[in-house]
Amino acid sequence: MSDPLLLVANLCKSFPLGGGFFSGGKRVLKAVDGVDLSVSRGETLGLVGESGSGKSTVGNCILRLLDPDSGSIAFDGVELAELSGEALTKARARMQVVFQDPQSSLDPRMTVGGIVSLPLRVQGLARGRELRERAAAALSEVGLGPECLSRYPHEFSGGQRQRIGLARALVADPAFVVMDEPTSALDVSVQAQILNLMAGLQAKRGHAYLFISHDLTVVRHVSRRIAVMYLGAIVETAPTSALFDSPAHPYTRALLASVPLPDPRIRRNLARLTGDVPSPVDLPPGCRFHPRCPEAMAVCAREAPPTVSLAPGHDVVCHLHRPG
Amino acid sequence: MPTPEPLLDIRDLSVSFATYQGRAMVLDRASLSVNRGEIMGLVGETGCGKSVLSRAVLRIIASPPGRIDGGEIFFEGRDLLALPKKAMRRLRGDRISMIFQEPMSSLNPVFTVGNQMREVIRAHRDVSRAEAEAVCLEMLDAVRLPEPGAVLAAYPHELSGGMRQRVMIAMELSCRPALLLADEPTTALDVTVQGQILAILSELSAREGLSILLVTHDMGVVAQVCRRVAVMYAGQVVEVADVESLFARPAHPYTRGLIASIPGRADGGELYAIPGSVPSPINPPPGCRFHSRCPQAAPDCRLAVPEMVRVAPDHAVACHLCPGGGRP
Repeated sequence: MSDPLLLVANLCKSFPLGGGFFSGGKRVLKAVDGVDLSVSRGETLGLVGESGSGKSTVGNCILRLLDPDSGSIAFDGVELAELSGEALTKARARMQVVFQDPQSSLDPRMTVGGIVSLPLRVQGLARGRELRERAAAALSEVGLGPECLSRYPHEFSGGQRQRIGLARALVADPAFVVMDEPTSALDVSVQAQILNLMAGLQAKRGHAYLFISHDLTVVRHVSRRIAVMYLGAIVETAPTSALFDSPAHPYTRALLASVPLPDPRIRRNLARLTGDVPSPVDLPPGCRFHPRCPEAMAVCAREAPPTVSLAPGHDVVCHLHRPG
Repeated sequence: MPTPEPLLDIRDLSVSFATYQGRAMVLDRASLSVNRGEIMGLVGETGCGKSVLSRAVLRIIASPPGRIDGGEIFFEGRDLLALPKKAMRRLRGDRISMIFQEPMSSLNPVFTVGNQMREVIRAHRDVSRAEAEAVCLEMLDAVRLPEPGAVLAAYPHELSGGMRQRVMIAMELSCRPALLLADEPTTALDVTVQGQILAILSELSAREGLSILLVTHDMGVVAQVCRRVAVMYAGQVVEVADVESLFARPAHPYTRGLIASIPGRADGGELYAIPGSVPSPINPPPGCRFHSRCPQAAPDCRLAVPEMVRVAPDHAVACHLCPGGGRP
C-alpha cells in the first residue's frame, strides 16, 4: 500500500484502576496493547471486536481525544502523538468523528446550526454569512433542510440526529472520519438510510473512514478491509472478502459463526465459544485468546503468537499459522 | 393430530398511555398466539409496542399512565385480564416468567444471587431453604454456569453480563413455568455470548417443552431460533407466519422492507431503506398505519384498517394489497 493516509504503529494505552486506599498495589487496565493499522486515502477500514476489546480507545487515541502511552500515529506524514496546542488543532481540522449515541453527542442547548458550524468556527475556516451557508450546505448533503438550522437536537429523531452528527463531521471537508458505532443505536431500516448516506458521501468527497463496530454484517457491508480486535490487540487483518471466505484466526471464525444469519434455512450452532471476554486487567499470558480458544495448544499459554502474513494484506496473529 | 389450543392467546389487545401531548395508542387491537413448546418471535422496530405487549401479558404496565383499553389475554384457558390481583400475582414467576434486556437492573445489587433465587422459589413453593438451594443449583447447572455454588454466593456486580443473564434465566425457570416472556434478552450482550444464551433457550424449549415469546428487533435472531414469528408495526401486528414462510415469502410490504434492509446480503451495494420514520402513536395515520411509508400504497390504504387474512395455512397478513388476501 503506497502512501497511507493514516499509519498507526505499536499503539498502547492503559488506564490505572482506582487507586483505592486499601487496594494496595496499582492495577492497570491495558485497553490497547500494541496496535498497528493503516488507512489509505478514500478507503474504509472496518475495526470490529466485542465490548472491551479496545476498539473505541484506538479511535479516541487517533483523534487525540486520549493521549496514547506509546506508539506512533502518523497522519498524512505528520506525527500526531507529538503535537500539541495550535499545531494539534490544525492537524485535527482534517479528522472528524461521529459517535454512537446521537443523544449525548449533540449539545442539547445549541441549535443545529451552531452544532454543525462549530468545526468551522473552532478552526477559523469561515465566519458570518459563509458560516451559515456552509452549515446549510452540509445539512442539505445529509438530507435535512435549512429550516433545521434554528432548531434544537431534541426536536429530531435518532436517525435525523445521526445525520446532524454526520453533517458536523463533514462540514470542514475532512480527509478522515472515525465512525464509532454510528448505527448501533438505530433501527435496521434507519441504519440502512445512514449506511447508504455514508457511502454516497464518501463516493462524492473521497474521504476515508475508520468504521468501528461490533456488528460484523454492518462492517462487511461498508468496509474494503477489516481488522479484528480481541482484548486490546488486533488478531487478524484482511480484505473483506478474504476475511469472510477464509478466516484464519480461531477468534475470527468463532465471531463469524456466532452471527445469527437472517435465513431460517441455515440454522447453525451459535454457541461456538464458551465463557465471556476476560477482563483486560489481568491479561492471560501467551496468546490472549487461548483460554477460550477451541484449538489451543500447549505453546499458546506460554508464548505470544507471531504475526504471520498469509497473503498480501491478510495478516494473522496465531500459533496455528507458521511463518513462511 | 388435532390442532391444540394455544397456550397463550392474545386477542385484539389495545393499550394506551397518557402523555402531555395526548393519549398515545401504543397497541391497537394486536392479536397473536403462542403454542405449547414453541419459540414465537415478536419482531419490530423501536416504539412499535412489542415490549408493551409482553408486559401486558404479565399485567405489569404502570397504571397510570398506562391503560389496557380492551382485548383479552387467554393463558391456559383463563382470561388474565379478568383475574383478581392475587391470582395474577401467584401466576407471575410460577406459570409465566419474564426476562429483560438488561440483567443488571433486574437483579437486586445488595442481595446475593442465592438469596434472590431462593426467594422466587419459596414465594411459590412450600419448601425448606435447603430444598430451595438444591433447585437453585440444579437450575444454574441447566444454564451451564460453571461452579454454581460460587455463583449462588456472589453478588450481581461480581458476574459478567452473560453470567447475569444466565442467572436471570435460571431464576425465572426455577418454578418450571409454561411460558417465558423474553424481552430482548441478548441485545445487551456480545455476539459470542448472545450465541450461548440463544442456544440455552432453544435447548430448554426443546427439552422441557417450554414456550417462549421472544421479543427482538433482530431478524437474524428470529431466523435462527423461532418457529413462528409475528411482525409488529406502529402498535399493530401486521403479519404472522412460520419462520420459513416469513423469510421466503414475506407478504406485508413492511416485512419485505425490514428483511431487505438487513446489511450483508448483497455485498456492498445500496441497501434498501424504508423511507421516512415510524409515525407517532399519538396521532397515528388513518387506515393502514404503514401507508405513508409504503412503496405500493393505494388510495384505499388510507381509508380502512386492513384486517388479518390467511394467505397460507400458517401465514396471515394485514394488507389491502395482499394477493390472495382480499376481503373474506
